[in-house]
Amino acid sequence: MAINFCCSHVKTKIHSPAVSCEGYDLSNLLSNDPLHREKGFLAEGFIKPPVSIFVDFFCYVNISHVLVWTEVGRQKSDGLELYVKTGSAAEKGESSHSSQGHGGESIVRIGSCRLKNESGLMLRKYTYRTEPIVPSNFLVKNFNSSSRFAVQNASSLEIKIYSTANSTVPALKRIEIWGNPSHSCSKEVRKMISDLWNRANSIVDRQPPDIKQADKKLKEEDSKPTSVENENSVPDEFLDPITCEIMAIPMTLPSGKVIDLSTLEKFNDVESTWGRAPCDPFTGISFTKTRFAIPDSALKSRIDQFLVENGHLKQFKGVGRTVGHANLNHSILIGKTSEVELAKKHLSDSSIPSLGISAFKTHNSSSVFKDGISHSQSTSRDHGKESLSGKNENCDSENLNDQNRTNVKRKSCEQAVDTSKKMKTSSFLSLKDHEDMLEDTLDSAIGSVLSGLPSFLKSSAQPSVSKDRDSERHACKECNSVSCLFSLPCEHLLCRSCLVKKSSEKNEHMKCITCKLSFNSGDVKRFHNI
Amino acid sequence: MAATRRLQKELQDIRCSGLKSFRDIQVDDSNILSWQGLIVPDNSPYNKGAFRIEILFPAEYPFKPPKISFKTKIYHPNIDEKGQVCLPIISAENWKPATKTDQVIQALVALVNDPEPEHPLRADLAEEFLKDRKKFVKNAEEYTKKHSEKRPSD
Repeated sequence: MAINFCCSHVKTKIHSPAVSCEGYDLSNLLSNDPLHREKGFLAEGFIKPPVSIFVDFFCYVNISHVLVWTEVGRQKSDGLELYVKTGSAAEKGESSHSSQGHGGESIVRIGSCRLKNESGLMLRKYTYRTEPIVPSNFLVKNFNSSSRFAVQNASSLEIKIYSTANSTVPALKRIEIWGNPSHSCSKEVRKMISDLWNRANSIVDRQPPDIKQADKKLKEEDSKPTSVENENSVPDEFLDPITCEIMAIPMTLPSGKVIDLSTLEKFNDVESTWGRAPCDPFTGISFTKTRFAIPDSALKSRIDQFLVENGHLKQFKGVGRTVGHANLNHSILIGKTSEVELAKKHLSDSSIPSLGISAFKTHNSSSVFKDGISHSQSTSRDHGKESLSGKNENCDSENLNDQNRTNVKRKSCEQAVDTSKKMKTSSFLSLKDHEDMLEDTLDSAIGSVLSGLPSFLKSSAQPSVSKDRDSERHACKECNSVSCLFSLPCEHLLCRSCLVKKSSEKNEHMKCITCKLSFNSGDVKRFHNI
Repeated sequence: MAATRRLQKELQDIRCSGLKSFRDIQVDDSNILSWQGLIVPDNSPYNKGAFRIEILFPAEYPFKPPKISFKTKIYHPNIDEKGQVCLPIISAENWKPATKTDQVIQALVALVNDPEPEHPLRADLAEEFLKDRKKFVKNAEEYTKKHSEKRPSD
């Protein structure tokens, strides 16, 4: 039975003259805590290779193979040399490549390597019979032939990092030194070591998270979400709290709860039969412009991932999914046809909860947008100036700012284009994106758009009129002068000089020259051409 | 059907929670929309018996409220001779889809324990309840003895 001697259970000690980075101590290499084990060893930033790490065994060890992982994050040691210190008892017959240490012990190089793309090194006895499992992407070498006696009786192992990749700091992720207590050890020692190892292993077995091999642990983590045996293993947060189904489009409510969009819409349908405004199903507080449901895209992506991983299971067959590709004119949902209908239906009437759908669509909105534009071009050509000539005084200014509602309208303008309301949208769209196409009607379009905005100047002038009419208006009716104008109650303009002339002629009942309406001097107001 | 999953969950939750005042829940395997159970009131004059109720869930549940009716005759101002009960939280206009069935049952048990004579279904009993409590209690106890089911032993 092989024992991993790089483990604190078998009384192995590790030390190095190099200072280690905080949190990446050498002791991590021996630790039984998987969290520490995961981190590995990193030398402090100012430490340059070579760095030696000494692993001292409690007894003499007959090493069968050594595994060294050399990557910690981006830090990688790529040049390694391994030495063992052997006891003097096993020294006989061993001479070459060995330098005499003090106290009758000798240090023997057992192998060295220069790693390129490999993530670690495995050194083994060439006589090693049962083939150890080699981690992927490892360089496999045999122990130096000259060291075959040394590895049978090692009292300590030295790992010398002599170079690092891209001059990063010396790093060691993990060391495994597999072997058995040497034959030179007494029976008691061998039994003790083997007992210690067995006990440590049984502890490991009893604690599933404390898994010996990090690879195994990672694999298990990966496989965890994929193994869903029954309904109960669907995380609660993926389920709609009202219908208990997996959510297709999770929406976060103002109350903080997350429910599916279809549930919210059904709820609000029912609520509307009682004449109530859309509201939060949990609090009953109505949605407003600032309080409404927003899509929880983070949860959505987690649900999607979950469904992708578990899609083979029967219970998820009928679950609605969204797809991430464009072409959402057809549908954004696959599976739940009712939801597609709902979504479409909702796009045609612009109520607040539809914000959700449009927001989900924004990443695909370009395709919709194109359609909207092409459509609007044809619309504006067909209905041309009629729709743009400033009739749209009641144009809602919010429409212009509210991206989502514009989205809704874009959609509706694809569906039918006979009402003036939709033409308004299309004119606005095309104005915004294809100005050159509409150069001739640009001014009037701006005028029509501006007319929807609240105006504080309406009493004195109407900015909604088109520019050519304006220009003929903003001049004196008598002398066509444009400076210092005054507006009469009938909204015709006179310049100051003409007005003074008029008032000096008749003190009472001055008449407008164009419409013959009489007015008092008190009703004349200064006109500012803005 | 949308109601199924929610009802399965609620049934599981209620059975796990072990409500003392609502026992012996029977649900037809073929039709999870129909539940039956025993209401076990704590307060006099109903604490000598148990009352079987039926809960019918509409297919649109939880967007529409369930209907509750008494299968056992009970002498109660808020429950009429046909077993119909007036429970505000399951009225169509007050219904909230987030309301769980165990909340409904708790509201029902509270109503049975403490009648509300202000909103009666049987005005005669409400009047008796308000004006001659002794007589009401006596009648109710007799009625309970005569009609109600046996209380579960534990």
